[in-house]
Amino acid sequence: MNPSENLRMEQLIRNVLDGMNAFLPAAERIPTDPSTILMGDGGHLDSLGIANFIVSLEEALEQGSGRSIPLSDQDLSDIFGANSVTIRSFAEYLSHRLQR
Amino acid sequence: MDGNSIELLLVSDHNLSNFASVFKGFAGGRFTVMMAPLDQVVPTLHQAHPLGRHAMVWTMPERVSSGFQQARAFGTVEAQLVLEEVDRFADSIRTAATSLHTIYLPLWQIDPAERYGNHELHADHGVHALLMRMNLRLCERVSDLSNVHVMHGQRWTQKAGPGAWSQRLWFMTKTPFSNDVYQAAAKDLLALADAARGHRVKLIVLDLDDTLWGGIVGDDGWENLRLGGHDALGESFVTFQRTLRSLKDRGILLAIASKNDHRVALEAINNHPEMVLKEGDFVAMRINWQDKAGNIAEMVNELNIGLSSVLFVDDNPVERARVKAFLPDVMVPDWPANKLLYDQFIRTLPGLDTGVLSAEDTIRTRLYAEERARERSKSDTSDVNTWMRSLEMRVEAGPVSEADHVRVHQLFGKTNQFNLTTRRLSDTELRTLRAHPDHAVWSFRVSDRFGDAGLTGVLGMDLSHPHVAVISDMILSCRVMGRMVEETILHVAHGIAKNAGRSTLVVNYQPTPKNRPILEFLERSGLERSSEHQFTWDVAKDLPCPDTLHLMIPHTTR
Repeated sequence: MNPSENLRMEQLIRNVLDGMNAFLPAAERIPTDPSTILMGDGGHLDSLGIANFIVSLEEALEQGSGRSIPLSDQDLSDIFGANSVTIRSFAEYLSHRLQR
Repeated sequence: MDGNSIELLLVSDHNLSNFASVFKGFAGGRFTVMMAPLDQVVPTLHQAHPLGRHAMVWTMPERVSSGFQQARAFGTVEAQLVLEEVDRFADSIRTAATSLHTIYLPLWQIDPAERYGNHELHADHGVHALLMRMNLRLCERVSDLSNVHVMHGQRWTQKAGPGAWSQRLWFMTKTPFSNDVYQAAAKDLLALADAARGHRVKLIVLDLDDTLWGGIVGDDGWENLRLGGHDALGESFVTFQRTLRSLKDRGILLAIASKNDHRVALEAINNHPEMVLKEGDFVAMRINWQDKAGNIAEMVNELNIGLSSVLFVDDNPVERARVKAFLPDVMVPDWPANKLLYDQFIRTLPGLDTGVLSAEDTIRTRLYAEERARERSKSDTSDVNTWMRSLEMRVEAGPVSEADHVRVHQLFGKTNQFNLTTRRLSDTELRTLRAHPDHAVWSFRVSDRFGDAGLTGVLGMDLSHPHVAVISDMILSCRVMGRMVEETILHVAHGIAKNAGRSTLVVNYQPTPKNRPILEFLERSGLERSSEHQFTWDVAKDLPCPDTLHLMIPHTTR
């Protein structure tokens, strides 16, 4: 657990969502507070939204860390089980992946 | 769907959901976006579509041509077979063009980074060369259709840069492009659709100092302006002026709003040997020390043009901000600070698309000059009717001929103020209407002793009812408004109704934010108002032709 790394990942996710929101009509924009549910029950992203988010996040991680961190091949539902994925929980997951 | 919203159908063999979201974000409520079933391109193109629907048909070259798919997989293919597949696709587009209002057709692309060896541009078997030939063939096969707009999609991928093509999104969602590409495509599509509906730049108002030439003429003197010569800056201003002159030749009017001494500025325009634009190229000038917003408003009023059709070009951000604040409908782009970029910048602006060029477009500046001469003579004449008679106006009316078709289609697409319903008929819809036995579509040509205003009026009549003749379309260019041509069109409509044996003439007005002038005319025309938006006339009663002009109708159509 690295709180500062978690916060950095939260900010990265917010940046990615801001980038997606810039292309969306006002009514479809995704909130960016840490408790926002991204995927799972009550999630703001549909299947296409998840794909867009994952692709943008992979690109942002590559730019930020210089490392390729493939997320597309991960079955996120396996990782998170039936739980809803929030910005905060996803940031913790990313932080953990980066430390590997 | 709200009444003013255009229905846009997205037809594709790949996932356009991201594009749809981006486009909706840009277009707001102006378009109702619908998605055709994925990868059902040909069946969708061959189905009947409701009136007024637009469609964007965005396909991948390897989905349209199996031959191209084979070539891309390093196989050997006959180019002719690939082109025949393109022809079949073009035939489907042609079929769809008979029922769709407008079709937008992005050119085919593959990622230019893909390498196919030293022969990739070989005319016979190079993959990239084959794609060029496919695109050219498609352009050729649809170029005669005025409601099919081929779009230069490579501009979008180029603008989006190296991340334009997304293999990740492709494999995850069958979306080939990044949202940056879709953003550029959405902007282009909106500009094209607006132009197709008549929303385009009709007047460019230009500043002078550091806009048309380098330097301040009042300080430097016209001999010392940076314009032409062996000078990068001077050359860039000449290039910019050449582009403006080309736009003028395509029917866009030019005017000047400059804070300068009028005499000094005109001296520069008339005497500088490198000036491309001459005094006669401008339909209006306000060269004084007054507020530019007020000057622009005056010129626009004088020219009878809507503010939303005006583009203001000024290097000074303060002047731009002033015009933006006081005339919010005027287009005021943030002009580049680097003067070398003016020409490149204006070429990227939307709304300068003039569509199909008519004879009137090429002489529009002259027509406005003639109108100014007319207005001057009006001020010399105390009685309006006396002035009208002094114009020796002639109005020639008759059924729309094939030679008139393009201009009539333009009037349907561009006229806002004197337009009864503002329905924007596609080329095909207009042809269908003209050929319909129960409809009459007439054109009106207006000329006077100052010159020929050309085809400036359209009358559409629905004669399908046994007792009633309905005026379905009544359109008049603002160039001839207020010169009794309106009354003449009503007189002709009355004659058509009488000849067809109808007892009542009905006019149904459809209000829009811009067509109040035609309502005001109907209110003073003498017709009886039967409801808020309907006027009628008993055909048994005469509707006389104004005696201030001479009406000519070919005998065969009387």
